[in-house]
Amino acid sequence: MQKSVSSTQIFSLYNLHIFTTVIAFLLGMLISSSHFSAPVATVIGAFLAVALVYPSYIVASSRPNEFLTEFGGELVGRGPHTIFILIIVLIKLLLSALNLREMSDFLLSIYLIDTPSWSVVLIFGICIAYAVRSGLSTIFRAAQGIFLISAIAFLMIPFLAMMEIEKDALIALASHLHFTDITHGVIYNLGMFGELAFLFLLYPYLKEPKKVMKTYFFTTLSSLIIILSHLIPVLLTFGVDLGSNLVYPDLELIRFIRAGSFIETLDPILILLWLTSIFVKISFLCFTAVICIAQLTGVKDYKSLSLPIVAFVGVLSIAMARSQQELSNFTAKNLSPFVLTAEYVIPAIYMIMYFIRRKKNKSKPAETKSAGS
Amino acid sequence: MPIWRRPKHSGTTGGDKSKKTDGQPPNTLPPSRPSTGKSLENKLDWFQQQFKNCSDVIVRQFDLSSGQSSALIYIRGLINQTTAQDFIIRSLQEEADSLEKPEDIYKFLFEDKGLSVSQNKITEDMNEGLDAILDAGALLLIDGDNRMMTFSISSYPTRSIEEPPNESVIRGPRESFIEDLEINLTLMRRRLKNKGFKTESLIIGTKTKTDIVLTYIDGICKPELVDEMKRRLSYIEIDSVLGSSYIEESIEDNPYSPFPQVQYTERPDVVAAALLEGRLGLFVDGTPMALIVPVTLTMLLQSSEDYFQRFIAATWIRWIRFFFSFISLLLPSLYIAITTFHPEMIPPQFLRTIAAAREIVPFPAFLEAFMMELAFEALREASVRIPKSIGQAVSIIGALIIGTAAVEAGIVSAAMVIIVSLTGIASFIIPHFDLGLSFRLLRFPIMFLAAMFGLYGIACGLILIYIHLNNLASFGVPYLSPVAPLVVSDLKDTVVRAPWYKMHKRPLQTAAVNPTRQKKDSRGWAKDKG
Repeated sequence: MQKSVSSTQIFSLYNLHIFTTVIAFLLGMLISSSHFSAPVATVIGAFLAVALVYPSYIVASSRPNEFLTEFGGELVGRGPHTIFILIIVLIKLLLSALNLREMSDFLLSIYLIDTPSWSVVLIFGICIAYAVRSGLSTIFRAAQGIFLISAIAFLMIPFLAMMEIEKDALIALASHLHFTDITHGVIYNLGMFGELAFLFLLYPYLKEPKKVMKTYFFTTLSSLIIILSHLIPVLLTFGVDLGSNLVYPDLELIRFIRAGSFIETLDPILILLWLTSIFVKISFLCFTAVICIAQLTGVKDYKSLSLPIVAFVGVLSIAMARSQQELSNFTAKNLSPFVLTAEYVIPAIYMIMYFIRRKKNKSKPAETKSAGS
Repeated sequence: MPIWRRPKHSGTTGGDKSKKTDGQPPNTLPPSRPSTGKSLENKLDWFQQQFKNCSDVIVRQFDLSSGQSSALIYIRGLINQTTAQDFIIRSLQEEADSLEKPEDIYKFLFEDKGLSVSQNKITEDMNEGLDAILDAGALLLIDGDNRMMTFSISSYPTRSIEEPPNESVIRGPRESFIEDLEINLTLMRRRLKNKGFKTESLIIGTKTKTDIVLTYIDGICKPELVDEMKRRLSYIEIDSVLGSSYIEESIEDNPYSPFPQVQYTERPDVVAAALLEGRLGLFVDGTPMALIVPVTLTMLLQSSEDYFQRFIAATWIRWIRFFFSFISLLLPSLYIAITTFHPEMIPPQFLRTIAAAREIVPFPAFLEAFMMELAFEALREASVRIPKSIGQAVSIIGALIIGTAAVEAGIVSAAMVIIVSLTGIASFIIPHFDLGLSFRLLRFPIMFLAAMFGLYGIACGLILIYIHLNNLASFGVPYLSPVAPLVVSDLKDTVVRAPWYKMHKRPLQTAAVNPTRQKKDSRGWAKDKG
C-alpha cells in the first residue's frame, strides 16, 4: 500500500469537506434551529466532535497499516463488522447523494432554470467517477491544490459584505443564548464535524497516522473560523427570521456585494468555488464507499466499482426526494441519528471491543504462566 | 533495441574487440561476420556488393612501394578529403617507401599506429567497417591482413550557431542548438565545466542509426531517474529516428494526454539549468532541440528570460503569464457563459452595448465564437505554412479585412472579434508551444460545455482537466508539483521568481540527492558593512 496522503492534504481536504456544505447549504437550517445561539453552538459542536472522534483514531491507529474493513472482524466478530461497515457505506452513499442533490437543486433553481436535472447530475457524476477512479492520492492532491484559493475567497466574502452588516445586533450573539437552541445546534454540528471520523477507514494511505488527532484539531479550528466568518455576517445582516427562511443565505449575502462597475454581482463566481469544494467532498465520500465495498466483497481492483457506485449515487440523488422542501425536512429531522451512529457509535463499539480484546490478550499469557508454574 | 555506443574516439579500443564500455548494457546481438580472408580484392568485392548503386561511395585504391595494394573507402562529402589525402594515403605511401617487408607495414599501421590521424580504430569485422563508413568515417584496407583501420575524420556542412528563433531573450545568451550533435554537446560542455557532466551515447533506428545522447550531472541527478530513462529507451525498436519527437512519444508517461510531459528547448542555457536541477537532457542527432525530463506544468510556464531579468519584474511577468494562460483557455467560454446564462454579472450599460452589437448577428454566441476561433486557428496555421514573403499579406487580409468585413456584414459581433483576438494574443504568451497547443485544443470542449451549462459547465470542464493534471506525472514527478502535492520550498521558483541569492536549495522534487545550490549568503557583504 502506497502511503501517499500527508497531514497537510488531510487538513486541506477536510477543511473543504466541512466548511463548504455548511456555508453553502446548511446555514439557513442552522440559524433556524439555533437562532442567535448558532455561533456558540457551532464552536461547542466542533470541539466536541474532535473529542468524540477520538475512538475512531484509537481503533485505526492500533493497526495503521491495515484497513479497518479487513481487521474489524477480529474485534467485533465477522457478522457485526459486516453490518457496521455496510451502515457506514450506506451513510456515505446517502451523504454523497444528498450533497449532489443539494448542489443540483441550487443550480437548477438559481442558474439553470428549465435544464433537466439528470443532465446536471450526469456531468458532475462524470467528474466524480473520474476522480474516484483516479484514486485517493489524486483526490487529496486536488483538495490541496484548490484549498488555498478557496479559503482565501471564502474569507474575503464577509469583508466585502461588511457594509451591509447591522453591527448593533452583535450583542445578541451573547445576550440571546438559549440552552435548547445551543443543544440543537450542537447536535447539528456534531454531524458535520464528525465526518472526520470516516478517515479511520483509510489509515494505510496516511504518511503520518500518529499526527491525525493534531491535524483534526487544526482542521476543526480553521474550518470553524471560516464558517463563523460567514455565519455571523449572515445573522447580523438578515437576522434570525429572514436568515432561517432563506434557502441559500450566503448566496443572498454575496448578492449584496457589487465589485465596482466591472462585475455586477459576484455570485456566479461563488458557484465555481462551491462546486470545486463540493466535488472534492463527494469524490472523497464515494471513494471511501467504493473501497469499503471492494474490500468487503473481495474485489481486487476497486476501479471497476467506481462507475457503478457513482451512477447509483447520481440516481439516488434524483430519486431521494420529490421536492426541495422534502429534502430539507429529511436533512433537518431524520438524517442526524443515522450520521451520528456512523460517525461516533460504531467507532466507539470498535474501540470498546479493542480494549476488551487487548485486556484479554494481556491476561492470557499471565494465566498460562500461572498454570504452568 | 537501441545499441549503447562505445566511446567514439577512445583511441585505445583498437584490436580489443571484446572490450565493452563500462556500465552499458550489452543489448545487441553479435554481428554476423562475413569471412573474406586477407585478400584486398575479396574485401573490396564485399564492400562493393554492399554499396551497390551508391554513387557517392568512393573506393580509392593505391599501391604501396612494397608492392601491396591498399584502399580507402568513404562517402563523398562526409569526410575531410584533405586529411584523407595528406595524413592517411600520402603518409602511408611515404612510410612504405622506408619499409621493405609487408610485416613491417602491418606493424607500423596496426601495432605502432604510425599514422598521425589520432581518431582511429582497428577492426576485423566487416560490418563494423561498413558502419564506420556510413557514420561519416573512412576505412583503410590493406592486402594481406585481416585487420582494417577506421578513421573518424568526418567533415560535412552544418548550420552555424544562431540566435534561438523561438526562445529569444533580451538579456540572456543568444546561442541555440543546431542539427549537429557534437556541436550541441560542445555548447553544453562550455557551460558545464564539471566532471560530473555525463554524456551517455546510444544508437536508435535500425535504418537511420541515429545518435542519441543522454546527459545528466552525476551527483545531482537521481540515479533511479537515469536508470528509468535507460529502461524506457531500451524498449524503442524503430527503423528511423528523424527527430526528437520520435523518442518523446515513446518515453512520456501518458501519451494520450493533451499536455506535454517532456520539455524541449533550443537553448543550451536552459538545458544546463535543468541539469543543475537534477533533471535529464536528451539530445538527438539531427534535431536542433534537446529534450528535458522530468517536467511539471509550472516549468512549462517559465521562460528563460525569467532568470535574466530582475526578479521583481520576472515575478510580475510570470503572474501575467499565468493569468493569460487562463485567458487563453477560458475567455471565449466565459463570454459564451456570461452572455447566455449569467447576464446579471454584467453592468446594465455594458450589457446594452453587447446586446446592441449582437442584435444583428444571426448566430448564437457559441456558434459565433466557434466559427471565429476556427477561423483564427486556420489563419494561424496558414501563417506558419505559407512562404514568409506572402505571410504578412495573408495575416493582413485575414485579420483586418475579413474581420472588419464580417463585423460590418453582421456575421459576427465586434465584441467577439475582440474576445478572439485577446485569446489569440494570450495563447502566444505561453512559452512552451506544445502547452499552448494543449490550451488551444481544450478551449473547444470547454466552449461547448459553457454553451450547454454556463459557468457550471466551465467549472465541470476545469474539474475534469484538474483531475487529469493531478493524475499526470513526468518520470515520477507529479505534474502539478510543487502546488499539488505541496512542496513549500519549491514555491520560490514557481509562484514567484526569488532572487538568486535566496535560492539556496535546488528543487526537492528532482534534486533531493544534492539539494544545496549555495551554502554562503551571497549578499553577506551587506551585513558586514560596518
